[in-house]
Amino acid sequence: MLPSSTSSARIGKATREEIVPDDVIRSDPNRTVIPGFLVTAVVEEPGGALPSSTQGYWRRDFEPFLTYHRLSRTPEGFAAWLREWVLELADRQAYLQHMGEATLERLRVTDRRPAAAANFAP
Amino acid sequence: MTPAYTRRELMVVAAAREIRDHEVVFVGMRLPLLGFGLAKATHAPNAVGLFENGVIRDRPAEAFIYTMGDPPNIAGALACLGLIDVMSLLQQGRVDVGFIGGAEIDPLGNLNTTRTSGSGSLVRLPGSGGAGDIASLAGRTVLIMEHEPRRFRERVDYITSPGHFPGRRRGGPATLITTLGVFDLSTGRVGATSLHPGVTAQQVRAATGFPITIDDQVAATTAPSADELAYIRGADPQGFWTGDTMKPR
Repeated sequence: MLPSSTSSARIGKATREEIVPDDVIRSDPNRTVIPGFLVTAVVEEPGGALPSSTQGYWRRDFEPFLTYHRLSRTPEGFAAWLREWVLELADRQAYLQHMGEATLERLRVTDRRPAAAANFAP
Repeated sequence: MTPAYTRRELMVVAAAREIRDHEVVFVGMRLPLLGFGLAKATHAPNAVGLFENGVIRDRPAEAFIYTMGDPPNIAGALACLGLIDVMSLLQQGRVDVGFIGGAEIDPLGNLNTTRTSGSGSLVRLPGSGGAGDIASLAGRTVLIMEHEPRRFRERVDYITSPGHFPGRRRGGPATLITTLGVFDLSTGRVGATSLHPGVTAQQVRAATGFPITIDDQVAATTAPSADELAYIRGADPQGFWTGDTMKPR
């Protein structure tokens, strides 16, 4: 969710890779993209953005986008895609299982490149 | 004979050559993503790229990217602002050159990406994105298109991104790069600067739905160098953007 989309929404739901203590968020206010008062509910859902990427957690999986482009050229193809990837999957866990552990392993970011610490002492 | 490069690779090289050193570039999706990286790696090391999601880069992305929001385009960026911020820089006149594509074009460089009934029934196209702003506010624009008669029309159904018009105070289409050649749009008419190797003037006229100036002595587009191809293939190893999916001529 982008800040501009929170400005136009009355109800905002945020899906997160991780929920961290409040003081982690407050340690660098410049990085707070959406302040809490704009958020109605938070859902902890690792892999929630897949097959798109999440910086530091998941790389993009390119194949599903190509598949969607190919299938969505015809109504039948789109219906088949919708069945396989939306209608027949009960929840996010089922979606991730359908992607397969080997794919998830390939997409998971394991290297670390932390930003430099900043001193926010007043 | 098997060509040593694809037409899309040639188009990336042509796009890169439109970027001068030290320029601020509003980078579009697809081929310009690679063209910007290639220009940085070759003749324009000091160019700065703005992406409409707010990313500002002065180095090419570290790995292949599918969208401007992919992690390799964020890592090592100069700044990650927001859409409003980079569009404001565009409005301020800080952008030298912007890249845009279109579904349809007319002789004044007006682009349509909104809707068309050119093929008989009304087709809804993706819309402007940031293209209308780029076409209006960048110092000059470079247009990238497939060269087909149904796309090159005397009059477009809808002007999404304005071309040349009386009273324009800034910018306007400078160059058009197509699957057949490179064309000068800066005078408000379409004239061939170069045709891609193997392309004839007759082919171009047949694929253009309006009169077009092609000199008898028109040059051939300079083929990519080995270094340029090495860069493109490193940045797009699977040929995702640059593999030639177009039908053979």
